[in-house]
Amino acid sequence: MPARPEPADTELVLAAVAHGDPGAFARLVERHQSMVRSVLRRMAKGDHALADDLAQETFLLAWRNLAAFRHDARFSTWLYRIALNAWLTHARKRRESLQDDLDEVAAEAGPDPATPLADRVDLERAIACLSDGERAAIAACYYADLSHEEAAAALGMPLGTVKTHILRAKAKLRARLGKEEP
Amino acid sequence: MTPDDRDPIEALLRADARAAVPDEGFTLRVMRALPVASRPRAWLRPALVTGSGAVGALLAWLLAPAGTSVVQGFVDLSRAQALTPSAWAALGLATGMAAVAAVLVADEA
Repeated sequence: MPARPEPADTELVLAAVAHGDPGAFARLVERHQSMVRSVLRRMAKGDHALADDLAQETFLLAWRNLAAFRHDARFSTWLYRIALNAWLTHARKRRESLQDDLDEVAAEAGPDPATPLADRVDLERAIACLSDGERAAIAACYYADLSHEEAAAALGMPLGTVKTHILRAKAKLRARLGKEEP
Repeated sequence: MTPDDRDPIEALLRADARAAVPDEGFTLRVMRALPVASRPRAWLRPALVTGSGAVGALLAWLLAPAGTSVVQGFVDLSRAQALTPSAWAALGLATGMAAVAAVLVADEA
């Protein structure tokens, strides 16, 4: 007997909205928790507990506003926007902003050139040293898998700024992790 | 192979983004935190309608002229003596019960 195909996000959203089916919403959470938590972990500079709290807030907001989801966008993109807003609200409370100086780098310990870093933990630490704007662009384009155009729309930045953030972020990561450009 | 594929940072970022974050109970945590939908109390409306009908019947019985009997009213109605006070009381009771029943049936539908 062939396996039943996984229902698409839109089918699960419809089931959750029309019938208030928590099981359908649980499937959506299972499917997208990795992306949401990855993005928020990068935004939260590796603070996993904070990222998970914000991820939970993201899904609760999604549940409350599920009926407002327009099916012309990907569900993951819609979720990403909610996660970003949750992060921005949190950051605003901490008087942080995406409008930080592009060149600002958190004053954390610099890399040791004698010991180039390569594993994921080091990448997470290196990303934490980027400016807020650069981190947001990297999180959007790599961890939320948005195109530069989608990231620009979601972040409310000009497309050129997103591309600049990505280029500068990669240059900084390259320097911090000791990876040579090809 | 594209230039991006040869860029170790690009490859590192893509590999890191592909690595799934294990659920480790996160979905359960979210589902437990969902607000419980307030269930409408199904018994409330029928109880209100029936209660109102009962109070109306009680008031009608208390305020009815002395000697009025619903049973006698039904007897009067069956004998085509429709204008006796008891017959009016019987008609009022029957109308009230029909109204309550109609509201309850409409609510159920």
